[in-house]
Amino acid sequence: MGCQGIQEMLAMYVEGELEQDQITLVKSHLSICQACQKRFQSLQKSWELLEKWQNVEPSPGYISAFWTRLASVKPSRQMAWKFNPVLVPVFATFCILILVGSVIIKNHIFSVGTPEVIVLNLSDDEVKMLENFELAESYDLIKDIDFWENLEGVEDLERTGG
Amino acid sequence: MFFMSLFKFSSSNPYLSDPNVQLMLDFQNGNKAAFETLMGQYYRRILNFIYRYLGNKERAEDLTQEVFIKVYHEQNHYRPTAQFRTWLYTIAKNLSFNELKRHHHKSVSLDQFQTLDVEDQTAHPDKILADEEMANVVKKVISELPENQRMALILRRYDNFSYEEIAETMGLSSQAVKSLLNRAKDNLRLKLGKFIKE
Repeated sequence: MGCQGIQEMLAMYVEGELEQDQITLVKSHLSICQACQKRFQSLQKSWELLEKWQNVEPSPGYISAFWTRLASVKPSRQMAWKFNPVLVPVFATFCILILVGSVIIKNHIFSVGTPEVIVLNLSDDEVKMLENFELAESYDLIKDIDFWENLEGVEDLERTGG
Repeated sequence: MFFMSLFKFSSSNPYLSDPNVQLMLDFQNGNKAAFETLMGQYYRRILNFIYRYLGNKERAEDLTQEVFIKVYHEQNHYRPTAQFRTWLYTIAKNLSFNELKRHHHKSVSLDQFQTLDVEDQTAHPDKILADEEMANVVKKVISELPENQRMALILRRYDNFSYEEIAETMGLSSQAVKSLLNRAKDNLRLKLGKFIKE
């Protein structure tokens, strides 16, 4: 393996994160390649230098400061679910309107009616008409004809053979 | 919700073996002392994690309080779906990312720093000053890293997270974390190289 492949492994080699066979490969290469050895040392020293940045300690009284702040903060989930009393009459009105509207619509549908409702609301003449559907179908055609006058004429024709 | 409850109490949940998860569940059951124990264990770690990421101690202290306020208010909603440490650091990471977006932290100039001999291990006043200067150099160099490299580096170098833990905290694959760390280390080598005596 060439320098490029070895250098790609150096960052993990610094932390000992390579597999054993890879460690052997890198060690072998470093023993003969000064450029890679120099790069490895630079990586190693810069990694070690990070420990110079020490931890900081919390400010004195941080625990009491935390509890004081906690007492003044409302949980975000509870705030999201807080009920606004101003909206109560608005919501109630909306519900009532929906309810009334649905009742009106329902009654309107039944007033136009199902076939059963229609039949129940028929007059006596209309019922008699329905008894003879053929006559009913022709009703519009014959409703204006004066049967009795024409019937006498037809009878006369039959009598006179004309 | 029902199935999450089953997972929470199922013996097959691997996270129940984490003692800190148990502490959080104790807190969920009303044991306030459990929360205080958790805070005692992690307050400094979270503070330093955020401090190293943002480079500002005052802001880090403020955000550390926010982290634990959030943990406190999550009492009723907590579900052990990760190691406690990973879950806690994820909260800290998210708050830190958001903070970084809101504020741009100014960097300190490195021109004032001279080449240091880091091979000298003898403790004396000059060495102490050098250590303080070196700490500032390191702080500056880390602050100049890209955000994701910086986060991965801090978790690895200062919090001793494994690659898998870093991956879980940052929402990345282990391979992506390895790549981030490799680039971070290379950047460190390039930036700190002039401060290292050959």
